Amino acid sequence: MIHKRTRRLARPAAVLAVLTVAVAVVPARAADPTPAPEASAQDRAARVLLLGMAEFMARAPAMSVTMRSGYDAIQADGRRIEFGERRRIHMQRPDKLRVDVERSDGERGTVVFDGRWITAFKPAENVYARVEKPGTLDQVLVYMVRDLRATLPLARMFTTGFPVDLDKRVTSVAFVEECSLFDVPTDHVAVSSAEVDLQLWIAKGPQPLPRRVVITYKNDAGEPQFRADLYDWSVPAKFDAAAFVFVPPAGAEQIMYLAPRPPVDVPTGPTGEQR
Amino acid sequence: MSRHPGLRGVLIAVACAVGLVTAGWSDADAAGRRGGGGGGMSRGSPARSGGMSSRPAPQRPAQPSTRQAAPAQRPATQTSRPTTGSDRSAQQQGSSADRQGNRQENQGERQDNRDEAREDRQDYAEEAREDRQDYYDDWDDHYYYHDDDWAEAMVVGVTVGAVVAAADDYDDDTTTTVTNVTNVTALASLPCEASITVANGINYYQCGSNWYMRAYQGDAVVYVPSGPPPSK
Repeated sequence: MIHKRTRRLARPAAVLAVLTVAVAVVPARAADPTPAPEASAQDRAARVLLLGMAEFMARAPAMSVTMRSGYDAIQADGRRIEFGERRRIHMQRPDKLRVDVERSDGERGTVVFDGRWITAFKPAENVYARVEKPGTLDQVLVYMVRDLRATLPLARMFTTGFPVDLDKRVTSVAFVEECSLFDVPTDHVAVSSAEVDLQLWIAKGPQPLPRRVVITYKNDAGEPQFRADLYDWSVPAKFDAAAFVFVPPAGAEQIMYLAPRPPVDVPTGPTGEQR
Repeated sequence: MSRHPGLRGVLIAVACAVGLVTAGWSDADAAGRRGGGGGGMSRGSPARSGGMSSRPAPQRPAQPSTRQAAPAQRPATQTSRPTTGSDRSAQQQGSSADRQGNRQENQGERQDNRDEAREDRQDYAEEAREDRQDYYDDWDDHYYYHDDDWAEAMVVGVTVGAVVAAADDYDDDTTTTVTNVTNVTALASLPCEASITVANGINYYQCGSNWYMRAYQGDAVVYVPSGPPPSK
């Protein structure tokens, strides 16, 4: 994908290029008898499955899941190295979240949102940082990922706007197969957007939850992938009130929370964040 | 806080000191502990965040990248604005006769210039809107996927103990929200084998005459320049 800003800056050149390509391509296309494939009934059904999953997640009042994920880090010499993380995620709408993470190198961390405060804790250093951010879970997920640059993989999937986002972004959905390798039968669906290719294995039955997600960043060098298995789902989940309360361990040091400086022309986010 | 009105000044003073003292950003990957694996491999990746939007960041090696990069390109589309002003000024320095004779022409030019400036402003506003829309829609992209893509940071949350530690009887659990943005330049690792001084439960790391405190950035603990511990 050519980035939008680049496209704008290069608008005249782009128009010229398109016209040139169009002139060159039109005769060839006229001779090409193969029409663009239309979505099959199976693929249309796959889109329904996809959006049904998103709707189910968006409506869930509370859920917990374990996410075992890995991603490709393309090294400077071109090697593709996978790093992994495991997260236990607890979320309760409208405004509670707890994520416990362990990286493949053993580093651990916890993030808690109690409806007012976001707290990040690093047990190895016994330090924690807090930022006050009253709001909904949707707002806080956006704030954490966009503004604090917290790593919360598949965060968009856990917002109530996920069905709308997905519907807007997806350019094609294809049904791959029924897969029997999970603890429940799943439908394997391949999804494309302009920016990423996405594969999901969606559980059949009354709880159409994703059991596996693979994202290919097809526009990035080396086309790295993100892969996640999601298991131990509980929907709707029940939590003790203490699950979303962070109590600093003895001797824990509170440290400052840093964020990158936002763009100069973005004074206020749509979710109402004040900067 | 109200119990200790003077503490706010101390807090702000030390926070400012944190903001004023900056140091170079060491490479996160070289730091090993947070940026890379034990074998020196980089953990940085656009795939790390598992985002569903994607806006490729500049490939390394690159200058610290920020989202300001795109707005910085805008002056190219705005060049007519300052030019318009200077042309007008130059024209106004001409003789009275020239001004009289050229008034109609100047009016026409000014109109053209105004139209052009208006179009520029419209373009700019439209681009700004699109940029903001990108920013909001693509909130889970991976623009800053290297830890040191944003060395320049600001304190967004709470600052505590260390900066108010001058009050011996101060309740360590009491915190203060920093409402004024304090800019800092963080380090992924300390530049030396630091000696540690603990004051009121806060670790201060000393490298020569420089002092550092820990802070949380992204998913990692980093170091920011600070003043010396209160007893120093």
